[in-house]
This record gives sequence, structure tokens and C-alpha cells, in this order.
Amino acid sequence: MKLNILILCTSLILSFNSWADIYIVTQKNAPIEHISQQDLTAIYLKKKVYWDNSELILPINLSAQSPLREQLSQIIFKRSTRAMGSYWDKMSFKGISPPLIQASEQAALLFIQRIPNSIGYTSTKPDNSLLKVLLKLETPK
Amino acid sequence: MKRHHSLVVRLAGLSTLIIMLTVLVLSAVVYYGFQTKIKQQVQQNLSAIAQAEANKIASIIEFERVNLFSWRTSAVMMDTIVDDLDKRIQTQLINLKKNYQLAGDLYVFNQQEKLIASSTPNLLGQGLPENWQLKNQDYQFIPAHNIKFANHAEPIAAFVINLAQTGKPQQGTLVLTQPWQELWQHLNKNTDYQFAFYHHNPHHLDLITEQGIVHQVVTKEFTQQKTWSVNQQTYLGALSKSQAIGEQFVLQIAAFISENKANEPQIELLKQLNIAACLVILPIMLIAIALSHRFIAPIKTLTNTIHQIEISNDLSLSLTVKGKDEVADLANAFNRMMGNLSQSFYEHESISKEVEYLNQNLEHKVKARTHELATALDQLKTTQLQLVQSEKMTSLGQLVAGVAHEINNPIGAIYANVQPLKDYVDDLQEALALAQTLLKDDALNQFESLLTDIDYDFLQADLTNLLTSQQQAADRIKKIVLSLRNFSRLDQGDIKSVQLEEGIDSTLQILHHEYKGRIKLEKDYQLNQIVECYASELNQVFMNILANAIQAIPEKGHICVSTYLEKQAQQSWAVIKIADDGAGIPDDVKSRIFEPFFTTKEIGKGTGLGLSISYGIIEKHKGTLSVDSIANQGTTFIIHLPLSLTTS
Repeated sequence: MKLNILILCTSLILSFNSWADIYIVTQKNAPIEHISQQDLTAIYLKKKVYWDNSELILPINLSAQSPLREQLSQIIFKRSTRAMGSYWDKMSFKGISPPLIQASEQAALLFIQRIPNSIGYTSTKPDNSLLKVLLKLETPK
Repeated sequence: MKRHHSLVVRLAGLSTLIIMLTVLVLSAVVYYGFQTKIKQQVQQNLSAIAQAEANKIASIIEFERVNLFSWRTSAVMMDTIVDDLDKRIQTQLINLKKNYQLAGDLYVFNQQEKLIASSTPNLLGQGLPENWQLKNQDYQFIPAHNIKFANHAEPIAAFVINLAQTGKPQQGTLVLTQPWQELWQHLNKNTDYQFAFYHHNPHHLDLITEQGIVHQVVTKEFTQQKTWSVNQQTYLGALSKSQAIGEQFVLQIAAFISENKANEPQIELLKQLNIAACLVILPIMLIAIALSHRFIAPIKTLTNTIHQIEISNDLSLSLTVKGKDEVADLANAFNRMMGNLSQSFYEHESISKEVEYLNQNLEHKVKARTHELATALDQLKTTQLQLVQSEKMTSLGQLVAGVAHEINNPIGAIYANVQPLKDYVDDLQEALALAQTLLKDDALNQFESLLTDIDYDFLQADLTNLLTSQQQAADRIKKIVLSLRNFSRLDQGDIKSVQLEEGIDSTLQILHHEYKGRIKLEKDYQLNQIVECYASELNQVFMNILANAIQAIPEKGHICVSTYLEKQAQQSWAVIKIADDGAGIPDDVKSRIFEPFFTTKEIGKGTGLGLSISYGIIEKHKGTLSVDSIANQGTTFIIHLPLSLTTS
């Protein structure tokens, strides 16, 4: 029994480690077509809060337990999600809350679809005409 | 002495009455003062409680409002945008209901006013009720209302808030429902107060009862009334200030208390005042009684002292003064009065005694004077009698003296002739004897015959005897005459210096025939002094005493006459003591023997003047005449005479 559990956990870890690509998504009519990783980092650190047309950027995050969020954190922050907690603690003191969280990629995509100027990410390229991909972060396989 | 209305009782009663009246008046004042205050306080309490409960309800409503404002800021609420795709909102609502122990439910509607999340299952997809729709409002409290949603049968209140956050996209609506009745459960149940929600339009009360909310219609003037009649019971009530909560709701709470309950403090106050009055009155009454006794005690002492004075008539009694109060002043005044009274009484008594003494003295004086007068009268009578007697004696003396003088000459001649007669008879006898010798024979015979015839021998012998007897008789006559002369002393009426024994002997001589042969006379003359006296008067004294002595001896006896000189206190007294062993004088008679006209002799045999006159004569000589006598043993008269009348 113990052996079976160990094997299952190991396979899960291996599956997580086998990261997929990350697609940065926004509404189709958003005033941007492409975004740099640097801007993406600034948006998710709430250091960049407005689009060029002065519209408020509304970044959407997945829950802290999400492997995709962990993957994104490692790419754009070079840190784990857990390590970013202290950053947001400090930012909370400045009155800046972290990005909104949606529990699932589907909910995140629906939120982006319905709320203008919102931006999120997904592990699969969305097949939705109302959305567009601004950036594809490729991750090592 | 028992009194029905003693000063103690009256004083204690009066004090108690005053205290009772005072306490009752004070109690009444306190009661009515506090009654007003209590009513005011009850009213204030009602107002305060109503306000407090209103504030409590308002704070509950406010609490829910704040909760809603807090909850809508939750990031999860942003899931309304995705129609709660991940059921995070629903989970949140369930958790909130559980964690906040909400009596009602939470509902989240999306922007399209469709229910996307609910704390109650199986409701998703329902539309937002019209009552809950916000019309350009961010928040709205909707009071009691019935709604056909989620099977709410009972009236509920709804807290509706827009989920739009500043800087966030429009999301939807968050609704919190609460059973209307549950809201009132927060009102204080553990008090004597009842509460109602007051509705202005239309005017009615929603009474909160154990059975639920009871609708009660009231008039508009209801708020102005001090007492409210609800459910046929009279209440005191007060309303809280009206508070507008939201746009649709004005909160105003009425607090009630039944009039009986409200009056309980007054009744309790009345009871406590009664107890306090009793607690005050009883000790004060006891103190009043004790003080009355204490205050009255000096008066009782005063009264007792007065009674003692009444009983004993002792005015020297006084009160013991204690303290310096009015009673002490009274006691002092009483003591002073008693002192003055005592002094006056003693003065009065002394005056009375003096008067009594004077009266007695007067009586005595009167008696004495009467006695003196009687004595004087007696003396006068005595003197008169004495004068008469004296006159008689004088006459008798003169008579005796005359007789004695007349007899004295012939008897003197007889006495003087007896001796010559004897001599002559002797001579004749010698002559006859010679003749007899000389005669012879016839002559002799004749002579002898003659002698025989004449019994010469007898004659001779008898002649001698006759002569001797005659001489003795003459001698005796001479002595008698001398005695009569001595007795009468007509020639010696003035003071004379004599030997008393002579007078005694003369008297005895006169009385000789009375006692001779019967009474043995003993003489013991040792005075042998010349005594200055009224000799004839003294002889009367001797006569009286000796005559009495002789008469006191019925048959044979003794009379002893003694004289001697007695010296007393530089004065010499001639004492004549005449004692007999006769019948003696009884005691009852002894004290009266010197009284005039007192006699034990038969009527006509005694004048009763003898010893009285004798007493007077001895007094005249400034001497004393006393008597010692024992009945059946004898009597002794003792005469003390001064030797000289001129010096005594």
C-alpha cells in the first residue's frame, strides 16, 4: 500500500515538473497585442497598473496551490509563489492588493472574457474568439 | 400612688406622638417626593431602555450592514463575474452563514440579476425579487416584508448591497435576509419591560410577546400619553427617538412596564419607610419612656419627699440635688422653700409653744394667783380666826391672868401661912404632949379621955397630913397660877428672851391632869439657851402639840420632849422635838394637818385651828414646824426656831 502511494506521488511530482507552455491571455479588443515578459512581471507585481490607453489593468491569478501559477512565478519572478508572499505582505501595507484570483483556468478565462482590461494566463491556448494571446512563455520540458 | 395619667405616661406619649407625627410627616414627604422621583425615574428608565433597545436594534442592523460591506470586498465576490464558476462564492456564503450563525440566508445575484450563489441549496438561477432591487443605491435595508422567494413564509428583513467595488467591474448583488421576528429576539427579555415597534404610518404597535409579534392599533395621540392601555392592561411607556435606517425604515421602539410593576418601588419604598418608621419610633419611644422616667424621677423624689414630710411632719427633710437643670433648680427652690417653711414653722411652733407656755403660765399664774388669793383668803380667815382666837386667848389670858392674879394673893397668903400653921400645930402638939406629961390622974384621965374622944393620935397624924397636903395643894395652886401667868404672859406680849423649857414645863403643868398616871413623860432638855421669841405664842404651840400628843395616846404611852441646839449653815437653831408613841397620823391626813379647820376630832370637840395657828406662830418666828409620823407607831413634831428673831 505504502509503495503504491509512493509511486503515485512520484508520478505526480514528475508530471508537475514536466511544465507546459503558458499563454498570457486578454480580451480580444484590449489595447495591446503583445506584451513583454518584463511588462508582464510588472503587471503581476502591480507595478504596472495601466495600459497605454490609461485603462486599469486587472491581472488575474490562479490560486496559490495552482502548479501553473507556480510555474509562472518561477518564470517571471524567478521565485516560488510562497516566496512571493512576503512581497505581497509589504505591498498590502502600501494599500496594493495582489491580483484577483480565480480558482480554475476556465474561470480565469471566463473572467477575462467578461471583464475588459483584464489579463490572465492559461496552460492551453484558448480556443475563443473573444480572447487573444499576448505572450507565450515556453518552459523547459 | 398609681395614676392613670401620670406625667411619665403623658410625657412619653407626647414625645412618641410628636416623633410619630414627625416621622410620619417626614415619611409622607419622603414618600411623595420619592414617588414623583420614582415616576420620573421610571419614565426616564423607560425612555432610556427604549432608546437603548432601539440603539441595540439599530446596532444589529448596522452590524449586518457593516458585515455586508466587508463581505462584498472579499475577492471571492469577484467570482460573480464568472457566475461563481468555481462555487467559491457559494462556499463563502455557506461558511459565512455558519461562522456568523446567521438566522437568515445569503444570496448573490450576478449582474444579470440571476442567483448564482446561495447559502441555501437548490435555488440557483432564480431572479432577483423586485423588493430587493437597488435603484441607483449602493445599500438598502428593507424592513419586514413577505416575499415569495426561497419559501420565506414569515416576514423577513433584507439587507441588500451592490457588489460593485470601487475600481472593480460591476459584479452583482449581495442579499442578506433575516427573519423579522429574529431581529426582536435581541430585545432584552429578562426584564420586566415589554417592547414594541412603533409604526408611524399607519399608527400601530408591533408588540413583542412570547407568542410572537402582536399587531396593536393605536391612536396618533398615543405618544403623548403617560399611561398606555394595551390589551386591557395599563402600562407606563416611553418611546425611543425615531431613527431613520435607510430610506424605507424608521426605527422607534416603545418600552412598556405594567403600572403595578412600575409601582413596586413605591410600594417597596412605602414598606421600607414603614419599617424605618417603626425602627425609629420604637427606640425613640423606649428612649422617650426612659428619659421621661429619668426626667420625672426627681419630681417623684420631690413628691415622695413631700409625702414623707406630710406623713412625718419633718420639715428638715430635703432633696438631693443632682445636675444643674431646671429640675435641680426646682429642687433647690424646694429645699430653700422647705428651709424657709421649716424656719417659719419652727418660728410658728416656737411662737405657738410660747403662746401655749404663756397660756399655761397664765393659767398657772391665774391658778397661782387664785391659789394665792385662796391662800390669802385662807390666811385672812386664819388670821381672822387667829385674831379671834388670839383675841379669845388674849381675853382668856387676861381672864387667866386676872384669875391667877386674884388667886395668887390668897393662895400666897395660904401658902405663906401653912408653914406658920405647921409651926403652930407643932407648937400645940408639943404643948399637948407637955400637958399630958404634966397632968396626972383625973386630969390626966380627962385629958386622955378627951384625947381619946377626939382621937388625938389620929388627929395628930392626920393634922400633919392635912397640913402637908394643904401645903402641897397650896404649892400646887401656886404653880398652877404661875403656869397660868407663864402661859398667858400678859406681861410678856412682846419679844422676850426666855428659856423655852420653862414654857414647855408650864404647858405640861397645865396639862398634867390629862396625862398623869397614864402617860410616862420623858424630858431631855439639852438646849439650855435663851431664845428670843414671842413666848406666850410659843406656849400655845407647845399646848397644841402636847395636847394632841396626849390625845393620840388612848391609854398608856410615852411622850418624849427634847430640846437641843442645831447648827446649820452658820445659823443656830433651837430644836424642840415632841414625840409620842400614839396612834400616828395616816398619810392622807398628814398633808392636811396644818390646814385651817382640818380636824379628825368629832364635831364640836376640835376647831381644826390648833396646828394651823401653831404653824403660823412658828412661821412668824421664821422657823419651821415639821412632822414625822408613822401610823400606829407614833408622831414626832419638830420645831426649829432661830435663837434670835432680830438677826434671823
